Amino acid sequence: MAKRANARTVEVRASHVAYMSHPKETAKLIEEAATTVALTRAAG
Amino acid sequence: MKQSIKNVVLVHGAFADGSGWEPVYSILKSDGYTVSVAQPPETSYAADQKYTKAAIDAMDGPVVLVGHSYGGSIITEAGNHPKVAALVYIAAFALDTGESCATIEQALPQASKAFTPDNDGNWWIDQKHFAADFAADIPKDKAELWPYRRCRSPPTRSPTRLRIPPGRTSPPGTWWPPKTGRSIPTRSG
Repeated sequence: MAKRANARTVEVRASHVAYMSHPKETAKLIEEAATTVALTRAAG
Repeated sequence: MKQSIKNVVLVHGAFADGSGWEPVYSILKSDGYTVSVAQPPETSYAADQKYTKAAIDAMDGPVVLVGHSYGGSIITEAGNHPKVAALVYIAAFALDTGESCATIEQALPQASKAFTPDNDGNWWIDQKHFAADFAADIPKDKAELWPYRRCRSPPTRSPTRLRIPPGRTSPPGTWWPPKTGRSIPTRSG
């Protein structure tokens, strides 16, 4: 699914509720998405 | 001038509610983001779309839309909203048009034995398997409480199929597959 969506992927060793057990990594990924898309839009 | 997206909408998965996002919410908030925790009721896929879109509507600019697990199937379709600039999948289903969680789970080996259906189409959590399959790395008392807090979830395995308009340009996707979770098929999340 990730490959066909051309998605950037990050893997962590976590249970299914990774957003609860790894909130820092989750927030970082979300902020990276926000920044990357913002930069892309600014460039485009 | 550097532009920045400052709005985030968080969408929980099945057998859950928005409260699990609190740690992520707190970090994003302290980093200056406006965060909304959507509360899809999980009474139907259409209702889940309605509540998620309402949370997006309430934002005053571009949004990063985040989904966990079944929430991934919600955000792909809700991502048709013009305000959505990026999708983030956290151990989530990232479906394409015509797919549903059910079609994926029928095509791949079952990841967990914790979920069983009843005759009314509801799904229930088996206490014996839940903590190990779903929440092995959060405090034991929280994991044990979970099945009592919310123990059924009608739409998660429903055959509702996604609707994405032909030719839609998908927002950039970001994907996070944990390596050890056993709640949805490995190759899907």
